[in-house]
Amino acid sequence: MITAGYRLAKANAPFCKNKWRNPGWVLHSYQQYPDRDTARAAFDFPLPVAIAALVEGGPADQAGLRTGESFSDLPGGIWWGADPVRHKPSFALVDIVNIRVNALFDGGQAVGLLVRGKPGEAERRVTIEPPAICASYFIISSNGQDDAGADGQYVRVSAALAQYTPDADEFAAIVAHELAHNILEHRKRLDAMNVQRGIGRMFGKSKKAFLQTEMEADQLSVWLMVNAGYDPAAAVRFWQRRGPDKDKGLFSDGTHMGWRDRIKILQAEIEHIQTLNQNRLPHEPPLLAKM
Amino acid sequence: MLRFALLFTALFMAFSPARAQAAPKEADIEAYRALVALDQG
Ligand SMILES: [Zn+2]
Repeated sequence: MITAGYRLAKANAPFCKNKWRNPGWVLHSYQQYPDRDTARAAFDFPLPVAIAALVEGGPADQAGLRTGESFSDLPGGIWWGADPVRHKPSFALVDIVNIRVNALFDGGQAVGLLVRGKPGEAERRVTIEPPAICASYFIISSNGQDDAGADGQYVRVSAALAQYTPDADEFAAIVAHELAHNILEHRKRLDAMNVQRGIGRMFGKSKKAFLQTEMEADQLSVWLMVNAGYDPAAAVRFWQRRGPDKDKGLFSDGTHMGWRDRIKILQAEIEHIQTLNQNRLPHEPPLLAKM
Repeated sequence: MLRFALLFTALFMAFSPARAQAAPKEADIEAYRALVALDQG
């Protein structure tokens, strides 16, 4: 997830209005898992929040950080608190650390972090200077669903959907679609329009607004992919498999286009990109020229 | 962001199997590791 997300967000940074400095890691906490004891057994957490994954060659990797390590001196301090007696899975701690770290990087300079590794290992200080890239956190959810989403800040792909994709390019197609929603600020736009969620999204003005955002996300996704060096045709391949599979499913809520229409939209964009000089990357996506 | 976190919490709860107080099972530990491997991808 972070490998694909970081690559897409970095390659397209020149066209993103909202950027933040991304160290190229995913953080996790044992508190986010259904069973925190299993999580603790699976990963030795030196502190309640630790690095789950790192982009190979990314800023955190280059700074010498490793998965499993934690930060022990974030500004303002973090009061981890005791684990609640009754466990309720929560991303709250990860959220807090993400916000703190983001604030730390906001200054635009190199940042020193005190890092704690395995129990018994001495703490050490690392310096990290991540570049500003398209703003989004990238996470895998294990909600049992076969879906993906974007809320303006997070790009989320479910474990089931990630496993459905046979290669990195098709997986990147899903991440690119969701990242496109965040880059285009669709959540904000839909909220401003007072668009109905829930059952109301299937009708009238709300349905039209949803379909518009979905079309834009598809259009932008292939540009993001090409700029990041992914094969944009993978988005088409994904729908050629997924569409017929989905048709066997229960019902469509009508807020996404049919898969055949989506393939046509994707192909039209790919043809547009093919008319451009491929030696001059990145291409400015027409949808972002206006932003 | 918080809204998202709450949503996850709700979803996790919904799919969290009933648990007895026992030592974590090796299969569950492996499943968690596989999940985090997807974070890397
Ligand atoms: Zn979408």
